[in-house]
Amino acid sequence: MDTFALKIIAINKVFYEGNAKQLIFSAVDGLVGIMAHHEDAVIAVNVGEVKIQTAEDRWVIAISGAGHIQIDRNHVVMMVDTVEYPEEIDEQRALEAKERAEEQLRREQSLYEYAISKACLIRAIERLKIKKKYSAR
Amino acid sequence: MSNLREIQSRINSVRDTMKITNAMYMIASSKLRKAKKSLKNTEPYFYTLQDAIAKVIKQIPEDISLIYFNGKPKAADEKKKGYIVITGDKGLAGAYNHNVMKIAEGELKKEGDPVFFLIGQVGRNYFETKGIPYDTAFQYTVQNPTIRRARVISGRILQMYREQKLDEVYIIYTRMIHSMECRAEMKKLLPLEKADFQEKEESGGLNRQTNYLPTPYDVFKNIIPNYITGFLYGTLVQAYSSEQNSRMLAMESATRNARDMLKSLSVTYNRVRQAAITQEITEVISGAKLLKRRKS
Repeated sequence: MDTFALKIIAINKVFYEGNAKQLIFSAVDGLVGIMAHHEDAVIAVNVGEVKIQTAEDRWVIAISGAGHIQIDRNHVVMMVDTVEYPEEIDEQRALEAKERAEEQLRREQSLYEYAISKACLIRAIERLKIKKKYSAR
Repeated sequence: MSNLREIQSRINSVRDTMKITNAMYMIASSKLRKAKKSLKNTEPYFYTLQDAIAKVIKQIPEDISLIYFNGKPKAADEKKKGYIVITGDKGLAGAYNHNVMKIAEGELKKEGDPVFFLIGQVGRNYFETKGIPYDTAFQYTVQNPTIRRARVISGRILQMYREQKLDEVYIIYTRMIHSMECRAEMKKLLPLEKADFQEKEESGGLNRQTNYLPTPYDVFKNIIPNYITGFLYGTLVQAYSSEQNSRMLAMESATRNARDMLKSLSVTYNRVRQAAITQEITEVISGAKLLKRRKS
C-alpha cells in the first residue's frame, strides 16, 4: 500500500510527523478516511477520534480538537487546537467537565454562553467515549 | 555613628530580605525554563497555520473572507477599538508591568471609546485606582497559560467582533526577543491583515482544483478561531515567559544589591565595634594612669 507524508500539529506540540498509509478523522459532516494520492482538498475537522495507520502498519489512536486539514499533492497537514492519546485523558477531569457543562446548560444564559457550554460538553463526551473504548482492552 | 545593636538588626533584616529575593529568583528561573519550553512548542503550529492561511485565502471567495480581513468600511474615528492588555499578577518584576501600561496609557489618550480587556491583576488594579472603565466580565489570570483559557478568550473576542461590538482588536503584551531582552509591543489581532500571510516561496500554493469540504465557509469558520486561539496562546506564553524573565533579572539584581549592602554594613559594624573597644581601652588605661599618679 502506498503511503503519504502526514503531519499533525497541535497548538502546543507536533503530534505526528512521518509517513502513513491511512488517516481517519471526523469532519464536520461525518467520518473521513484519507489514503495515499487523495485528491487535493481542505477539510474542516471536528472534535473526535483520529486514527492513523502508520507505514509500519501500527495503528495510532488519538482524540483531536477542532481545526482543519490540508491535502496537497500527497502531503497531508492536519492543524487542530489539541491532540491527545487516550491514555492522556484524565477520566475524572473529563467527567467533571461534562457535569459542569451540563449544569451550565440547564441554567438560563446568553446565546454566547450556551455555545461555549455546548462545545465544552461535546469535547468532554468525545473524550470519555474514546477513553472508554480504548481502556477496556 | 549609630550603635552596634542598630547595625546588627539592620544586617539581619537585609539578610532576611536577601533570602526572599534569592528564593524568588530561583522560583522564577525554574518557571521560566518551563515557559520557554512551551513557547518553543507553539512555534511549529503557528508558522504552519500562517502558511496554511496564506494558501487558503487566495482561493476563498471574497465575501467569506471579507469580515475577518478588511473589516467594515468605516471612518477611523467611528471604529470601536478593543485592547487586550496582558500584565503580570504581581509586581516585583522590574519595569515589566510599567512598560505595558505605558503603551495602554498612550492608547487611552487617543480619540474614541476603547474597550479594555485586562489579563493580569496588576493591570486591573491600575485601571481601578485610576477609575478607568474596563470589561469586568473578563477575569483571567496569566499564571500557567493553557490552551483552554486561550480558547475561551478568543471565543469571546470573536463573538464581539462578529456582533460588531468591536471593529478592531489590538493586543498589548511583552514579547521575548531573546533571553536578555523583552519588549512591550502592541499588535493588531483583528481584522487580520492579508500582508501577514505571505506564502513561503517554495511551497508554490495549492492546486486550482482543491476541494473545500464541506464548504469553503465551514473550513474558514474553523480556521480563523483556531488561528486566533493559537495566536493568543502564543502571546500568553510569551508574556508569561517575559514576566518570569523580568522577575528573575530583578531578583538577581536585588540579591546582588543586598549582598553589597551586607558587605558595607559589616565593615561599618566592625569599625563601630573596634571604635567601642578602643574607647574602652583608652578609658581603662587613662583610669589606671590616674590611679598610679595618685599613688606616687
